[in-house]
Amino acid sequence: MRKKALAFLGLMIWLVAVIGFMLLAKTLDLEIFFVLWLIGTLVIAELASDASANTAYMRNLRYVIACGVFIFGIIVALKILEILNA
Amino acid sequence: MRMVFWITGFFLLVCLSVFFLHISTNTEEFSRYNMQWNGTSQFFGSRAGMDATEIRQISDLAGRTGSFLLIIAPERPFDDRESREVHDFLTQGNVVFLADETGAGNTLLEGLDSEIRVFPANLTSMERQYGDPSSVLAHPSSPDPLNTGITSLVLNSPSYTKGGTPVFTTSLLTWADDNGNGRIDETEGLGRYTILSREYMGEGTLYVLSDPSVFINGMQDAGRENSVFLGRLAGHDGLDLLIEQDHSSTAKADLLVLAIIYMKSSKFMTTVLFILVGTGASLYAWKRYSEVS
Amino acid sequence: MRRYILWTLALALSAGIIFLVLLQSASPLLYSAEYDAFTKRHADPAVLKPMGKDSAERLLPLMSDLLDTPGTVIINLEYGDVDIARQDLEEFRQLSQSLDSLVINLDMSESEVGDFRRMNQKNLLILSELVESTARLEELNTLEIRFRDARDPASLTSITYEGESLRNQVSQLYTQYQSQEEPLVSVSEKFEIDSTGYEESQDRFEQIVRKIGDEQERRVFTLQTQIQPEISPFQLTMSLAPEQGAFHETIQMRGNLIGGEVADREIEILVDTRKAASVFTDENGHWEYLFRIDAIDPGSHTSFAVFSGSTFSDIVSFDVILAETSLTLDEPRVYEGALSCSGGLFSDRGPVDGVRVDLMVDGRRSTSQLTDEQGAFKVNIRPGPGEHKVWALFSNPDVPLSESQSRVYSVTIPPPRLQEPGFFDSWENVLALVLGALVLAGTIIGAYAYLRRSRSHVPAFLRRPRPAGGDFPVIVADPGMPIQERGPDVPEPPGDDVFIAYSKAADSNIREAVHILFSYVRAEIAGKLSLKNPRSCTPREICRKSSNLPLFTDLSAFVRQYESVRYGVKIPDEKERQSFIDLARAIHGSLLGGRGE
Repeated sequence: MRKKALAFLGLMIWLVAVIGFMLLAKTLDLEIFFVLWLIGTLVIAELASDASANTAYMRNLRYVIACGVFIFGIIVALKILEILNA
Repeated sequence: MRMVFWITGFFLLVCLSVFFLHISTNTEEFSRYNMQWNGTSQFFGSRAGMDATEIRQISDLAGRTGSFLLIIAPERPFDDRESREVHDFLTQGNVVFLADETGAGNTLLEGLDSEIRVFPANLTSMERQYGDPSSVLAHPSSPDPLNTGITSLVLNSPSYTKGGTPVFTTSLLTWADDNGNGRIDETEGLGRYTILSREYMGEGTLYVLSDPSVFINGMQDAGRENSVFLGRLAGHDGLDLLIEQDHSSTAKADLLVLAIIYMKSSKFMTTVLFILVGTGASLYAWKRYSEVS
Repeated sequence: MRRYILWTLALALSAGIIFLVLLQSASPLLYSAEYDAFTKRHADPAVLKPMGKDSAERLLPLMSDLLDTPGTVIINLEYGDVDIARQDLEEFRQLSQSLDSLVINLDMSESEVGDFRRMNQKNLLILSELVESTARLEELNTLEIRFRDARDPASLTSITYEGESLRNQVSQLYTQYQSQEEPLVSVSEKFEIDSTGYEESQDRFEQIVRKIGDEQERRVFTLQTQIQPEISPFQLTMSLAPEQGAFHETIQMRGNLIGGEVADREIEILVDTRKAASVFTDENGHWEYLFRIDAIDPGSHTSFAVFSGSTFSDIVSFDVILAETSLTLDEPRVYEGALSCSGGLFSDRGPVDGVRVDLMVDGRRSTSQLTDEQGAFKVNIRPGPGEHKVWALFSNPDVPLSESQSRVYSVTIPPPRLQEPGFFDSWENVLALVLGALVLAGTIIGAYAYLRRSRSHVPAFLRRPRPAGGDFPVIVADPGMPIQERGPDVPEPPGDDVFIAYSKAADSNIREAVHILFSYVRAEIAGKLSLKNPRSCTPREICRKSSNLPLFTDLSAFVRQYESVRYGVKIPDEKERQSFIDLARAIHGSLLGGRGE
């Protein structure tokens, strides 16, 4: 249980730091927040897992990461569209 | 297990303090409780603001001498009785500084029999500090203790005054942008406009500034000598600083904010609150811990 | 029960948050400092960019310089230094161009600064012409001496006539210059610019005019008295009517050639010392010419006729009137996305034909059209959908017509009713679609590969490097400690290498050797049965779990032997060691056969 708590805590601290910086910069942007969340989750998932059999929550996390990567792809595609149309 | 509680407690504490911070401030323009760029919290939090005496009713002015009354952005007109009391205060040798750009202060000026009037307008100038047409630069005109040593003052969409002795004026390339398109049109004439006027009345001095935006947080270090100018107002000639809080927009606050402010200012209430919260949290934590073990 | 409540609560909360996020996903920038930086009373300086003050600072000094420069040009002309005057004029031109661009940059063309600019432009034109005229007059002075000494009355006459024309011109220039004095001085006073230099220049200009006048008088006197005119058999007369006209009116010039062969002779007619036409006399020596007033400055002009370069008529002058024009524009009609504009240009003398009228859309010239004989024009413009301001403008400094502008119309062009081009018509859209699809496909493949990577089929310990030495801690199940997932690495080379390793290790440490074998077997079985946490199972549990497999008997034997060696004190002999290998191989073969991959 300790490792699960640590993983979650790490992610939370990372997100709170991101929000704190956004407040300081007076800019709240969902896209930036989502990308940084994805990076944080990926890092946490890498650190907290082994390549061997894993606990249940780690396996489920990977599906969440897969969805996150898909949405990230959508964001990148939209940004490319924006650049092309500009 | 205990670690989780500690961490959750920490997060809750952070959220609570953020919440308290949020409800102790508002977003009214010029309000002294407004910590954003359009509030005046920094001015009131500065040393001069802290030392100043608040005037909650005009009748408090009676009998004071050697004082400097600051009326920032009045939003209600002054009635005859109040104008007369300010007149008595003024002629006894005090200084009155009115900062107004909407024209609400004209009722006071009329009651004081002053020749100065504020004309609400959207002044724009070619001489700007920033790329926006609202930032207008003003330069000293007639010598005055308020403008000695200052080369220019940065303003924020000012109006203009007429009458009295000009202390600060704009450059010649200034016009009143009536249709708000930011550029000069055929019907808008160029000219030099007065921003700060002075008039001696009795033994006192009346200053009228047609741009209260110099007091807001965003303009505190807008450039150059604005902070020097504000410092002059506060520590003018060793006079006591009085800040009017009856008609001024700086006193705007709603009930909740006022309650929080009152609680914060009263040390007794703060300690009581701390003790309550602390006891409650410890009780709960003890109960949970004893449940677990 | 409580667990399910928490689960549903968490799920509902997540769903709610995701829903809120999706609502905002169209505009992901929730807030930035620019969102509330502008209120009615002030703007947030933190979001404004500081401005370089150079442009506005230069304006007033530039205007002051421009007001002083005409003075220096005129002074130089007064002292006869035409070359230096030209240099000063060039400097004046440069400064004027600076002012033009500055006024456009600062967008002040509709203010008093714009008026100043226009008047300054006019001054520049006046002074340029003045310099040229003065230069020409200097030349005339030199020529006069030469021709006088050479006793060439014909050339002398032509010079005198040219001088007369130039004097006329310079007078006109002075009148124009004078007319600008008052407005220019009042604008300068408004901007607190010193205009004494400019006012002095007015007086000096007058001096120049007077000097030129005196010179011309002298020339005429010289011509009349000192030079004996050649006895020429010919005489030429000229008269014109009417004596003033406006644009596109004609002045009838006529005259007679007297004496000698007068029929069919060529007569040159000069206006302002420039040849206007050649006509031929009829059999009586009478000539006529209709002079059409076209591109000529308003004011008085001189004209004379010359026969064979030596016989001059008298100088006659006529006035060109500056006509006030008025420009009318009818309500533009919208027709199929285009704007049909028509109107007319009229002056107080009648319709103005044959001039160019500009059609302005939103302050920029869109097209221009010539007016016909009735002064009317008609043109179609396509300003694009949306709201526009349309007006007509006539401005031509070359003709004696005043500038005029029609009234301004606000028109709205409706968006085209035609069907919008299909999505695939523009290649940019197709390219964007392809790129977007590629990126999405890339991410899907990436996500899928990421997921597959984690579900490995190869036993973990086979990929781990073998640590040095034999420091394998004995794995003892400890209920107090959490299952260590990152346990000590037990490496194993794949395939037959296992048995080689076993044999090698068997000599030194049989316990570890059989443990290697058993780990290998266990991992294979775990892969076959998709067991979770295989290393947490004891050998007997493994055995129990594989009770359905055909290798069960071999496995039981193996496990029994393994336990006795690993946990017991028994030291196996050679035969038993070999049996380990055989059993392991049998199990392995059974597994391989069973999998059939």
